Amino acid sequence: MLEHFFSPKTVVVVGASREKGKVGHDILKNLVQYGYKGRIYPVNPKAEEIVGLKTYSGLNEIHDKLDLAIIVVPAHCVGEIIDECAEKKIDSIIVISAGFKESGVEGAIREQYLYQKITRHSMRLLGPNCLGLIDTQSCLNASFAADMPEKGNIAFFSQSGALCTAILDWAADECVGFSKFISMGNKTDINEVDLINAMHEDENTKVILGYLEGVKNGKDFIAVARKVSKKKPLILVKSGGTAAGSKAASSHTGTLAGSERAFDAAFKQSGVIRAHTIEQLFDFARIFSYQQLPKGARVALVTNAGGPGIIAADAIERSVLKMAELSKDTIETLRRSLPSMANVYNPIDVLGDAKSDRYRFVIENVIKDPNVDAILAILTPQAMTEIEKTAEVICEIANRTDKTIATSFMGGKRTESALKIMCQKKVPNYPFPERAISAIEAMYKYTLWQKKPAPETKKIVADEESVRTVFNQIKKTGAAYLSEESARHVISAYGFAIPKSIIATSEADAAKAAEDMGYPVVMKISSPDILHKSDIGGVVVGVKNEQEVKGHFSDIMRKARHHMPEAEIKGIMIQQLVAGGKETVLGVSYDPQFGHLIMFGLGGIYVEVLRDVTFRIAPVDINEAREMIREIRSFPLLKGVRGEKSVDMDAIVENILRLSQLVTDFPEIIEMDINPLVVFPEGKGAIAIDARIAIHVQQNKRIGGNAF
Amino acid sequence: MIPIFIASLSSLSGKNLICAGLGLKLKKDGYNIGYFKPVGFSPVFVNDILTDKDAVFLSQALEVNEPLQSISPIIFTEDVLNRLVKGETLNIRKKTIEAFDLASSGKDIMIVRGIGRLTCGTCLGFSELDFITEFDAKVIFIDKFESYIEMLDGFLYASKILKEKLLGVVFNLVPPSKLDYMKNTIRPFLKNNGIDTLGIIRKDPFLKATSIRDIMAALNGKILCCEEKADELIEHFVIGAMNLESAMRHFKKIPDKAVITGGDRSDIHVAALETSTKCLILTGDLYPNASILGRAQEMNVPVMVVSDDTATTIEKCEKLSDTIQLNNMSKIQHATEIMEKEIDFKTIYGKLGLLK
Repeated sequence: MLEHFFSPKTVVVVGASREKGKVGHDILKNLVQYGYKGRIYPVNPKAEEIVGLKTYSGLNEIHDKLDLAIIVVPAHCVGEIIDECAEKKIDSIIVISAGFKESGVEGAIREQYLYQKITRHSMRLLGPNCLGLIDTQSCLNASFAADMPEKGNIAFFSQSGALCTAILDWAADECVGFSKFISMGNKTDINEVDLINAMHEDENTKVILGYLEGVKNGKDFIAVARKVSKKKPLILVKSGGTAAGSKAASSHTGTLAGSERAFDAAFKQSGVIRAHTIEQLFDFARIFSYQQLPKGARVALVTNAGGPGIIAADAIERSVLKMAELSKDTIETLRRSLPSMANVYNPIDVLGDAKSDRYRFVIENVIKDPNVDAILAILTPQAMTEIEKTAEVICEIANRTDKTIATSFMGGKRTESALKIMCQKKVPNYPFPERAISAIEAMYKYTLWQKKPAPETKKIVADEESVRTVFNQIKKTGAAYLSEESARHVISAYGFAIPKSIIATSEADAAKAAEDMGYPVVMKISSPDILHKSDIGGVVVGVKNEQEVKGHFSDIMRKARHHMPEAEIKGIMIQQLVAGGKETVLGVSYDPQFGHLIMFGLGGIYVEVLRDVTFRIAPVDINEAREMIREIRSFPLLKGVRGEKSVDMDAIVENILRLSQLVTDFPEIIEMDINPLVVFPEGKGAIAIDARIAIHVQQNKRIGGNAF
Repeated sequence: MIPIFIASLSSLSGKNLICAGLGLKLKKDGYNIGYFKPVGFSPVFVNDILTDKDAVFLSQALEVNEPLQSISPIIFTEDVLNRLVKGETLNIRKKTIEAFDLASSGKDIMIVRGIGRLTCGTCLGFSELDFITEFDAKVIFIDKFESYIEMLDGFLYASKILKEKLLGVVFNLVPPSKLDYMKNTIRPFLKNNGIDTLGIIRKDPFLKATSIRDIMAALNGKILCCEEKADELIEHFVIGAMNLESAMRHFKKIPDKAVITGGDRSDIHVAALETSTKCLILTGDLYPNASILGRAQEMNVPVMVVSDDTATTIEKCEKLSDTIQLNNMSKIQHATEIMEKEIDFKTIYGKLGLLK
């Protein structure tokens, strides 16, 4: 798959140029200059020779099998070249040229044609409007970047070409090497999913990095990321998460940046390691590229300065990592040999006068400690510090241990040459301890992800047919929202417990219903047109006797008629009053890239203020449902405080799965909430008091248009 | 020749709809039909003749090849009113009768479209009721569903006056939630009062839709891409002034909409393009980014730039859809389909003594 892009035997550059500084020249020069071993064919009808290569006036003049075509001609000529490529049976194409979708209407039409041609001829296309790609293994620099990166085990793909050039420049200074380096451009054909797949199979790639502004197909993305992340770390920066950022992304690419919560959930569910900044992307990349994964969360700090040690300890405490508790043996060994002033408990303070031998002694011993999974060695350049020598020592140890080692040599000028050493010997150094800790944390989280058991699902027994009938009925009326009765019917068909309720159309009926149900009861206006019942005084809770029922009946009716004279009123719902339990909320929203998002959180009247909610993309499995419950800040409240019994967690899990099943069976649901879902103590279940469902009203046949 | 008079209790109630539907049905069944509009209220200048907009449109829709002067002999203008109040004799009765004779010659059935109540035209000296009596026309009343009392009063009163001339009544623009009520309660009630309900037509957003071209004309806008889609119809106008998340939530629930927003809200533009949107209306004379236009082209959604601000634009658009008439071929086609389904042609044919 895509092998002609990364290791072609022959490459043709259409639009090769004699003029230095032109893209068509730089690409050819890069191909020649960095030692690509395959055959290169420049095409330019006006030139005879460019950078020492014989030039051809057209593709048909080349009598060789061509693997990869790089097209650098003006946008309006690209289509014609593609046809010629098809005749030559070239299956892999890179279009560097700009002037497509990103440039407006004409460009968009051009890109559509381009896509049609590509699919018709079963070709694969990278770009258009991209920087090109680099594969260091085959020494192929099919880009107009100014440099060739060092060989390494990091693969990088980016939706921004300009960002690529900046990173290449930076990487040269930081000894960061790459296996593959790809600019995706407009993603007309090849997109992140294809590239992640290709990098997954590439044995020279250990870590996959990417910069994304959005994904083309959310479900495909999750599927591929889930598969790949079990084998290799997939670290991504996704920009456009804020209002300003998404606006900028929209005007950059003309696509949705995608909702932050959907991406957040997608990344969590597919094991993607999310970097929040480009700096973090490479902080993480280096440790994953150089080091082994920690087996646990316990970190030992070795420092020659108290302050940075405390800072690092704080950072550990704030992360999912733990401060390692050194074994008695280690502590004894350290105590016997270190100066008495030294702290032999974690963080281990080797004191300001520590030379390289003291670092060696401590690190070698700490590494043997079974209570330690990772070590961060902190160094500040003090008067007696042997900076380079210490670096050498740490690198030497790091290269023979299977535990994770990172360093934080703090400073600037004086640490410069030590950093070079660590750079070359592949020990990740961070200028400050917090960054080192967050890199180790990313590794540990990844370890957890890899250990995660296979998803466990549960088939919910549901009355799908009756729900379909309800939805079909609603679609006929053209309404988006279901009436409360229909919504109750739908959720109960999927096994949600709901309170008993009866619709009464007269005072006498209401009184009888309440009598049968047992006081106290709740009374609610029943109308498909009134969504916010309490806003118009349409809900009374705790009605205690017949007289009250009759009084409220007429009062609610009057209010409803007064506030919403046009509304169709079906009567008044008499509902069993549910007492006790804790209020939670379940919800569904629809994301255009990823599909349905399931929400769980603390319910009740403060839900809007506290926003203590969490999201997952449907379908949700049992483990994910459990994670959702544990993830909200109010989890301790659900577990019970001050001797309270825990709520019925299994019932919540079960209900999350029911909701997930419902929206999977019925993609037309675009919005839904069950608020509150009252959860009782362990073993007592949960009951859905109120439900609201909006479905997508299908368009009639006569109207084309987009999917919703 | 049978004249069928289409009357209503109020304006914009669906008279064109029933004229078109009935006319096309009769034509399909092999009758030679004509169209007549005694008084034109929407003057328009076509081929050097001052005539009526509906008359032009319906005569085209029904393919009635008669001179426009005989289809709509009287065009009510300010000038006509002035002459009338000054006491000039306008001979409206005579002109109407002559024109009708011309228009109806050789026809099996004439569809005559009234303009409002039966009393309309009284000041001209020849009211709708006069016309009906003069030509012994059969009458179908249509009205939009609004308030029960006024509608029922109107129908019952009309029945009292027209007696057996009234073929029946049609309810138009009935909200889906009221359909059962109309069928099970109102229809029997009218039947008991001797009135046949010939149809209960539910509110259909498509029939209230406005074409993108009409919007462009009303707003003096400029279409930047996909102009070939300018005849598509817009059913809903939505303002995009909220944050992206609310916009997405909102947009998803409204199919076939036009989104009105500022030219600088690229996030809203994209949200609109990702949901079911038929037109993007950008206000304040702010042009969108090239990549947005590219995306719009890719999704086949016309983008229109207008100089008004968002508030003014929505106001104009709403006014536009409030006064919408059945004057678009794709709507006519749709209307005919509805009529075939919802109108009780059997009763109509029976009462008119037609065979099929």
